[in-house]
Amino acid sequence: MKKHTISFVIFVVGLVGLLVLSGFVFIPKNNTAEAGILDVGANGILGEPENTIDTLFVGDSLAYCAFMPLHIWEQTGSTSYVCATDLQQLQYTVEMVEHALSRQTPGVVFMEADAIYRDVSAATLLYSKIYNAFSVFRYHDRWKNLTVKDFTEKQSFTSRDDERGYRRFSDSKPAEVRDYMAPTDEVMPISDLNRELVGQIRDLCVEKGARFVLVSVPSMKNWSMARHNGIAALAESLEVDYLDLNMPGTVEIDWRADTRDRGDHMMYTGAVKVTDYILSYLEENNLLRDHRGDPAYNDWNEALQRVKNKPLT
Amino acid sequence: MIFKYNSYFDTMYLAIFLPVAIVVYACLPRKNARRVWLLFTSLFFFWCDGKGLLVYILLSTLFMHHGGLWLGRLHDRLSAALKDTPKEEKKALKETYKKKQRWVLAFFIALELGMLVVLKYSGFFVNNLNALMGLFSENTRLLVPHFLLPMGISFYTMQAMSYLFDVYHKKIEPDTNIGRLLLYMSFFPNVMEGPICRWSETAESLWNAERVSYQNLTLGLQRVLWGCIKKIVIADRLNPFVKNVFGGYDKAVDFELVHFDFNAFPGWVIALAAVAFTLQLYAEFSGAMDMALGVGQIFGVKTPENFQRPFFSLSISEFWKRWHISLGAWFRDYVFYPVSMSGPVKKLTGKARKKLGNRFGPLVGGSVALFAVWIFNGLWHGAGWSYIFFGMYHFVLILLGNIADVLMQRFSEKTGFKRDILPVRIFRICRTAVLVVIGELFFRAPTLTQGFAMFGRIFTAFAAKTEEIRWGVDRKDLAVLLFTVGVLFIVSLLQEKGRDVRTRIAGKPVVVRYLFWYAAILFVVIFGAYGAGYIPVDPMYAEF
Repeated sequence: MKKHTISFVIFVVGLVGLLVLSGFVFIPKNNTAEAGILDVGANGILGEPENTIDTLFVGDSLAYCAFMPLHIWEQTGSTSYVCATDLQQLQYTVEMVEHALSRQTPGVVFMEADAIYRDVSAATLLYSKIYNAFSVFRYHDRWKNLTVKDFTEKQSFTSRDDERGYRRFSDSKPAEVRDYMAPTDEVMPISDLNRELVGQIRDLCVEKGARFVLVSVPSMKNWSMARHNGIAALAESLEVDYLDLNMPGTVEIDWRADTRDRGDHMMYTGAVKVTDYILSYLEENNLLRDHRGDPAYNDWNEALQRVKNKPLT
Repeated sequence: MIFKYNSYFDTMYLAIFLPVAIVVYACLPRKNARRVWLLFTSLFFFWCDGKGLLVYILLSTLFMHHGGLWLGRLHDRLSAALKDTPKEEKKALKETYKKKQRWVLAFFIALELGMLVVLKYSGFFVNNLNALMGLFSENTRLLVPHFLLPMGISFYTMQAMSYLFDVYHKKIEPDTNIGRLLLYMSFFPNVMEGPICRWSETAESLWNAERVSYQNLTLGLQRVLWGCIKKIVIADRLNPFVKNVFGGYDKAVDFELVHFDFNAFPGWVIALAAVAFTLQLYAEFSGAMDMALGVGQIFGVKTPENFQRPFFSLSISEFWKRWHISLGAWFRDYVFYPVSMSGPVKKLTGKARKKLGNRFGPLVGGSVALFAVWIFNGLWHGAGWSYIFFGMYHFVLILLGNIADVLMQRFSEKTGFKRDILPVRIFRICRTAVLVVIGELFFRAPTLTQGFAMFGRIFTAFAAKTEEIRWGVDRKDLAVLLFTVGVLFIVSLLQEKGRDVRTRIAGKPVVVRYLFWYAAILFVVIFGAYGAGYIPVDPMYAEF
């Protein structure tokens, strides 16, 4: 039996080694779609020069449809990036923030709160750790495009996203206007695990000297007063600011024109309104840095020009 | 919910639940502790599917327990009473008790079946009733009930019913230990997609809770890996293509749902999709069975085989003896035999023998029983007319096959034509496969009407453009598919020839064995259709 146990352990150790090694081959060598990186827009931050981002946004699709780094740049010369992905789960938000803060020193991190109500289980966390430890699981599908370079080259991130993580949508699909923020004392509960993960993100920010702010962008489909109450209570317990742009008197959204999909996400005009509100918050709190004269930031001006020249889609 | 999994191939199950279940089980020194652990993990598995739904399997087990004990007590009382009864009165006494036992059996079967019918079929029946009432009055409508279905309800209900039938027929003794019954009903590797176990086959080995042996562990894991290859590499990789063609493929494009319609496809693509679906169904279901049997083996549990290389079948009748074997055996034992041995059918067979002779005569009675089997088989697969049609399609094919068999025998006797020569066997295998694929097309089609439309399109739509087709698989996917299906075919062929592939591999030197398993594991990890961009196929039999 002892012999079998040793043999089995050797097998498992060999397997773990193989999985780790194959991860080095399969992991994308650059942060481009061609190189096989997932979430290309959000991972564009890996291509930004170190310590050049002043403001970081994280969250799900609500975030990448609402925050416009180039608009902030144009107005103030301050840099920002949106690390948002579809249906982002909080454990992935933690990863995103960790990655971003390992190379950047933003003064403020805005977290879009919709993901806080997305289910995360202990198993999901473990599963995510397995995926991180063995990159081959996450990037196995790159077998279709593997080249000799994948076996020899090291990772080097060179690609920068012109829109800095924002996704521009200019078609509007009007929503049926309703009072989705009717007052109520109801509080939508947040799971303990999700609270803990948001706490982790806050701690990461504090550790790196960044202010952590919770924000809810307007979304008739996803938001409610009960959710507002839940996040407001969480923000209070974490001692952080909470900006709910769904509340009357914040951002005047025209639900017949500013939404791209009947009240779910913002379209371009809605995103401008949301970003203007964020700008006013940054100004009020002296969180803006102006880099417009600095040649190290020339790419921002060039990106702005490229985006302006692109037809709206 | 702590754990969530949709199938036995979910990462949560494979990477967390299963390893924890095995490691803790292996570490427990006492048999009782291992039993309790197996029961706990099984109930936990159920609980994760939906907390409240656990109550149904608990109720089902309670009915089975009480029903079995009641039937057993009647058997005992009859035996005791027979000792003191004069010979001439024994027959009457037996009849009296038989009647009581029948009532008891009927009562508990009604309870078991009642839960299944209410939860699974009430919507279907009410919908049809509404359609019928709609013919007479536009305003009369019954409320269509919608229930959450507990995982594997059809499987465990059939297990419970087989237990009651077997106790009734005195094939097994009723069990007083409700824990043992609950474990038999809920054993987690089998509960989602079967196989439908019999008490006499699995209960004892389950309750024995053997220690994990090296041989059982390695052979079990070997089988789990084989199941993963079938499911993750073949079934899941075929999924986008199958979903595209069969419709109902709602893809989020620019946040608007896009529905693909089979009317966009030429006939040959629909035919190809029917073949792909049949292959996918086989890979998914038999892969799930490999998983169930492999995990069972690790725990030392004897679980019956559910597949025996069905695509080598010479006839539809043989196909159903090799495909979902435990379901076919259940219907054979608890529907076919009782119906064919019932008084009216026996009479019918007798009359038919006189009129049609000894060759065709027995087919008449057999057909009545066969009809009952296939109606139930169709309904078991789902509450819908597509499934009833699916059952009737196979009933007709088997019936025609039985008649053709008798005619072919006569023909062979007269002409000396040999049916077992290779070219004829190959022809019969191909013919059976084609008939199976046609049946699966109707099975997979969203509705029966659409099934007919798709079938018709195979022979009528030749001119549709293929440039706009979203295949869902590219050339590289196709290469992986062809390679893996080729391996599956070779392994099946070897097994068909009686070669034990598993033992052969296990007998190789350790270095060769390790290299082989490393290659196989990396094959699944790299070429599996999972992760970003893939939608794994749902466990097709989990809702049955």
